[in-house]
Amino acid sequence: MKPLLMTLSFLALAASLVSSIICANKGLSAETNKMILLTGTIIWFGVTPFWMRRKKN
Amino acid sequence: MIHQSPAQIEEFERERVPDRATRGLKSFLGMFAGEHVAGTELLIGPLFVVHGVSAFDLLVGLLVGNLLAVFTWTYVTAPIAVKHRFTLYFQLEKIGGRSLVKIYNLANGVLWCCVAAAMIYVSATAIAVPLHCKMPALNDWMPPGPGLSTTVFLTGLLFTFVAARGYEALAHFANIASPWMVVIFAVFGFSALPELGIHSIADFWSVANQSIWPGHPAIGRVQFTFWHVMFFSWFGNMAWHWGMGDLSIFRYAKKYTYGFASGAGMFFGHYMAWICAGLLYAVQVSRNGADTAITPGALASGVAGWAGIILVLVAGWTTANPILYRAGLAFQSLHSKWPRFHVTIAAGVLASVVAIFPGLCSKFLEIAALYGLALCPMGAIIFVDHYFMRKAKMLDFYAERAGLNAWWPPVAAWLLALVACVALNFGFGIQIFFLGLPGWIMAGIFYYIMSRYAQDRNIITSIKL
Repeated sequence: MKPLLMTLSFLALAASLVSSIICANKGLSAETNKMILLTGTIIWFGVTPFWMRRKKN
Repeated sequence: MIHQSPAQIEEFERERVPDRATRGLKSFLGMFAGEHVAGTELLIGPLFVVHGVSAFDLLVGLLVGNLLAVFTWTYVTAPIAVKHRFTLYFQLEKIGGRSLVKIYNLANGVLWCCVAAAMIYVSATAIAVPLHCKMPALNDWMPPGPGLSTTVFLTGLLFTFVAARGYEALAHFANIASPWMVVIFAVFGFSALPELGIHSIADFWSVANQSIWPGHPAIGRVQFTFWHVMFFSWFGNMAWHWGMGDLSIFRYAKKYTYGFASGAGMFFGHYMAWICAGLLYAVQVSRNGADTAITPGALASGVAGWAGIILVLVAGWTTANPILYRAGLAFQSLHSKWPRFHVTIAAGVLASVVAIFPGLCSKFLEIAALYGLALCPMGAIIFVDHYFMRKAKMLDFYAERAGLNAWWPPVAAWLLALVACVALNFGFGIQIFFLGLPGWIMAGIFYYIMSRYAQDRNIITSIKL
């Protein structure tokens, strides 16, 4: 389960980065880019706590 | 650093970190990458633009300055940390006695409140975007109205309450947020490019010189050159490397070369984040030339929408939280019977009140330089104590060896160096950005000369025998 969740988290980050690069090349509108960024953010914070271990600070 | 409870003894607060507790390079890379992507990066990047830096000066100045910072961590801080494996506070106590640590903590606590105030302000500007609060102009010192003031103060109280409860839960959240924050800062840069008319790498240099960093300072601002950028990026974290604050971190390193891990923070955090934050500001000015205000929430929301707003809130909060907690501990050290919860609340309320005034954030470069300047002399004292005392037939860790609670040369050297820096600033017009290194060197020389005069020959002889 953990590898699946990790993959999902990092796909969300990758999608955020890629969409902004495509937006920079005018392949995507700014509004669509913002929507993808928000979706990526929600997925990251929704999934990551389930696999990232609590570290001692 | 301050209490002596059993829990803290387990953290090796008052003993050498044993070899079994040292950590690998990976944990240092992660820590530096996370810690140096903070809310205040969103103030620093735009402030470089306001100070009229040119594109070449910024890009090359940041490169050189950040490299020098990495070398300073590696060759100045980490070797001493790995040799003794003590916290900064314990090492200061050995050199100057408990009184020295108390004075240091008082100064540190006050400065931490100012830095926390900037973080609170940054996060509050994110909350203020959907609330449509009136924002301050670039050079406003006073708050623009009750809307933003109330938002800032309530944000500060929320952060304070969470910090007073202990920062473990939010620290875990900060660990989760850290990789996402690095990516979103990069996203800021890419998303800003089309609005600035950059559609290929070939476009970048001409637009960078004409629109992003055109090299004209705002009214009342000092013109920044390559040297300003280089010294700011080198000394921006001066309290941690030249000032030896990160002895507490690197005492866990297996080798001093782990100091190079600071490059993760300097280049993912400072280099990339400051450039991307500058791009956000350029987008705002390109949309409306009269809108020169530095309000991170609005800047981020302009190019990244809600994800940008969330980043500003999270970046400010995750860094304000440990700073408020540490400020509480620093003030508590003045009187061990004060409850940490109440002291942290008091420190947080002070920071929240300071945060209401936007002038603090528009002068954040000066505040950051002052923070480094005020604390770095302690690093010089530790450096001289480590490398020169024995060679000069004097005692290192003198207060501990002589059984003193207060030993005056470190305090006198610290204060005298600061007085000399003030004189250089007011008497010779040397700007605060350039005073860090002279202050550090002077503190070291003063400490050496005063120790030579003040150390008791009888004690030296009896201990060496």
